[in-house]
Amino acid sequence: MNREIICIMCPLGCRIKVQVEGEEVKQVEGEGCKKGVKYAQQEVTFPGRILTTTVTTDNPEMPLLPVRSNKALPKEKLIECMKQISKHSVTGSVKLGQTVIKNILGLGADIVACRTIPLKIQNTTIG
Amino acid sequence: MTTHEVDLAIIGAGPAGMAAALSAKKAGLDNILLLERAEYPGGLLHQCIHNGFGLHYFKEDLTGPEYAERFINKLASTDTNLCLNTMVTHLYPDRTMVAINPEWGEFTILPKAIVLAMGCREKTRFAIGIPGSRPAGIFTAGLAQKLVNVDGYLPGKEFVILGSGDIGMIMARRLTLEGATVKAVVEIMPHVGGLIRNEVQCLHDFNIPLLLEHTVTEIYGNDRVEGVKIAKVNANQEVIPDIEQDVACDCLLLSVGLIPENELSVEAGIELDPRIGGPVVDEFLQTTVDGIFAAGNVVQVWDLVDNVTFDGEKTGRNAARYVAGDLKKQPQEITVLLGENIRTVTPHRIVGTESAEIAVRVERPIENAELMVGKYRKKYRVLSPTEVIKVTLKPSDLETCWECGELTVSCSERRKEKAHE
Repeated sequence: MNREIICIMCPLGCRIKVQVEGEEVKQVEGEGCKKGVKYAQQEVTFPGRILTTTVTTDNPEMPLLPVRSNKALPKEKLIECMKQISKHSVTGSVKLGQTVIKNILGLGADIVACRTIPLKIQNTTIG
Repeated sequence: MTTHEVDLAIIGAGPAGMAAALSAKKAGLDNILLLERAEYPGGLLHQCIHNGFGLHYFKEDLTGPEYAERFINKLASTDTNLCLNTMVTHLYPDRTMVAINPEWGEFTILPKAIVLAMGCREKTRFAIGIPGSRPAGIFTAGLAQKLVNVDGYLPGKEFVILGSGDIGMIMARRLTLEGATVKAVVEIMPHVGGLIRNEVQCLHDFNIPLLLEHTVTEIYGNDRVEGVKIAKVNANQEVIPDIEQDVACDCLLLSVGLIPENELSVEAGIELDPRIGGPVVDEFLQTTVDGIFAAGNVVQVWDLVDNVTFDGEKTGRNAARYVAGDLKKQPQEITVLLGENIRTVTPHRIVGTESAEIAVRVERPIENAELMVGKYRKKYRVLSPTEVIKVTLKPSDLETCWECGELTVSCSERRKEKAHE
């Protein structure tokens, strides 16, 4: 089977042709660089994406905490992961990178915080 | 009304403004005032919760909030005066500024140099003139992004998105993940407006229909959007009669372009580029008003935040040099001209004899392209209007330009026979 993959490693968007037999990648052509070969192989065997979304907090000034998966999740599991994440919330202070959900759906990736709550910001006092 | 004398005032604490403050500090400026109208620094990065930021600057794949926090932390470790909840209301040609905030009321700032970092804003329905009634349920994509990602509201259940800019495609994915249905992304051009990687991971991944060479010609509904009429267009972007379809939806998002935000620049008498809407700048990113610099999306709408950061750093360094009296201009200047297949170029003029970085956007996608900047040549496999191409010209590349005072930038397809020679 032949598949055409548009590489997403950089803005060039190379169209890469991949020849697949069963689970095995036989041939890759049309790539602009080495990253493209790796991406195309991965895309036909285990297509994964970083998932980014939010969970609710108990902080009225910052009602949502942005979160991400720390590894790529299988593409077809993203909606299922979203449903799982929607059951979670955080309370109190949060550190950047803190784990919110460990090993989501047993897929080997954690859902982690993308920001600190509260942010430490020093407003000027020169006025 | 109190008055503050500062070395550098920066308007806007988004990625451009934060980078300008940090690099000006590093270059030796001490008394820096960073003015921001929001409650916290970071600008639009807070609502851009998707990843893809920092691949060039940090060599890491970060989300918007993660990218912002790195700079917020760096700022906190300096003595930059961050002035939040503060709106700059006036900017005059002599660099006098008037600003207002709830704590100090109205106050005057007298800076030795200024960096404009106000960013850009979204075009609305009225900018593209869609007829029909004015029901609830019509949002710009960026506003919907803030509602969903920061405030926690889903503004509709069934969406049509007009325009395939990056924010539009990213919102198509985001809304789908949040349980809404995106019925179509409609694009008037024959190619997507945003980066190709967003077409793949936002639209293809979720089987969201993309209608190229189509547009929305009517909005239905009185109290709430009930649907839109989608029509096919010809090569001149004119609606083809009778090839129309009605699509039911309760929300229409517009991702139809961004305009640099320059009301203050106009008041200061700064010349604007009519094609882009941002200030005319030289290679130091100095505007046509002495001592006022401009960085990031206020000058031109960049493809990547990394480039906005690089831009901000450049203005911070150059503003510090300006204050120190160390920014050397030639008596004459080189005007940068748009040649074949070029949509935009910055800077608009070259005034010094140092290396100059040029940022170019092409008019249409082109394969086997050659970019020509005066005598400088560079080959590319593919060039697309969705990305900004940066090239650095050495002083020797510009030598011949000083005589005629002009530098033309153009881009064309390499001829096949030449490639075989």
